[in-house]
Amino acid sequence: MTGDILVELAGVDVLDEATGDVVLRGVNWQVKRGECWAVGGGPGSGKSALLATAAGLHRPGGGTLRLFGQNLAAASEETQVSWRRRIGFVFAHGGRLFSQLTVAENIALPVRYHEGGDEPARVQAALARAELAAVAAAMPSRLPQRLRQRAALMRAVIVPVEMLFLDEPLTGQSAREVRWWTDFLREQQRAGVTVVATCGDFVPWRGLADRFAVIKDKQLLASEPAGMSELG
Amino acid sequence: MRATGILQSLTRLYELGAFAVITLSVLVTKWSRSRRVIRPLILSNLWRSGVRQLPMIGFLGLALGLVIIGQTVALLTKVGAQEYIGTVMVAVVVRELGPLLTALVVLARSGTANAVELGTARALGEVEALESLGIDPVHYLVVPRVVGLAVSVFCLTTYLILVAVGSGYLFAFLQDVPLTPAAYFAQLNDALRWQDFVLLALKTALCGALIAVVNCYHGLARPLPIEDVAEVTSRAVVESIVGCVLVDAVFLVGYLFV
Repeated sequence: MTGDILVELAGVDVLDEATGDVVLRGVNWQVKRGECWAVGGGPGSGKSALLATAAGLHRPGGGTLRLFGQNLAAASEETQVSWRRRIGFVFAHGGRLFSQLTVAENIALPVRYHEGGDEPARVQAALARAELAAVAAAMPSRLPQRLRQRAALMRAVIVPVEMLFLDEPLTGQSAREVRWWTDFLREQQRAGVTVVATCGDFVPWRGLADRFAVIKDKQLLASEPAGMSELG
Repeated sequence: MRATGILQSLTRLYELGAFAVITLSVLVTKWSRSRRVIRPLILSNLWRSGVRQLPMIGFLGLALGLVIIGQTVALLTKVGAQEYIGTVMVAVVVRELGPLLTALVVLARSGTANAVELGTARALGEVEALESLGIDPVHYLVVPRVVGLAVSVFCLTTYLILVAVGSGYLFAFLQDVPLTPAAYFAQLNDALRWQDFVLLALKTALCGALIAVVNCYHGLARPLPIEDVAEVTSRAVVESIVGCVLVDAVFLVGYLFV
């Protein structure tokens, strides 16, 4: 399953974007093509900041971050935009859908912006896959969090991506919802998409993730491919 | 304490200038990119900042004409200075009050809304979500507002001037001022020069763009807790007013050479 390195953090200090405080120190971490990572940690441990940093959305406080083999610090704006089109990112707690757009418009936006092609068929397919067709014209604020999270997932993958970053997608979800998500992520894995997700509980990720890491005392402890038993 | 305040103001002015330059750069370099997304946003801003303000601007134009222009026309006629009517009209309405009043109305109705919207979007993490999709927030959020407000302030000012000129004559007519429409418009025609049209377009577009840039800057410049949105909006309004008055002052100097 492993291949070339897509994300590499070497001695990276991860910052809290709001306060500028260091939440993780000296992170050394590699994500290889085809892997599925589950990164655990308690509330406020810095999981979201780590994910955003690894995806290139936040600047590291120190160290070197390489995405697709290139140093982020030396990458031009064009290069960074091209990376972001290869990376899907789903934020926690409802996925940060754009409040001024309907669900369908949210999902269509990346296609309309980047490709300008005829997107209705793709949007309809995404809505159907996420069982959102009935609420396509609804504003996000009127939807429950689980549906907003699904819409955010569809928005992230409507333009085919190589990596998918998910911030606590299964936290607080019902068993049925967890099943839907794991089925969808398996499909993505089979299509060759690398998945990195944060979680508060590893249990739903057993059988799906092949790599595990946990955040303890501002350090990232990653397991060997064999499993998560060594993380305790 | 005062030195710190001055330093903060200068820093903010520098950041604002940098934001304006970035916006201009994105406007030029990405003008033809993602038209299917950006054009509807520009039209939406034109609708909100322009078309929807027509009744309010019409009302103000009417009031301006009746209260100020009509009275000036009547007064000048009484003292036998009818030949200055056109000059006064152009100086007061076309060059000064029209653009400034329109800019302030657009600031109150749309500029503040922009600051609140973008501040809230930033606080809710929507701006970061745009970045995660590879969408330039300046291109998607700022450029349509700058273009929309610049065009809107220009068009609304023209509309306000026309209404004020018409209602001003109406007031004079109702007061039995001995002034025919032909004489009235001939005086306006004599007082106006081609430079007035050019400077009016530049001034109004600049005021509109300035309002948009200042409000967008305050909404987007830095991560914003939701409770700070109101304060930031208030600051954006004050800075927009100061900016518009400064633009007006710069053009006042320009008019001296026309």
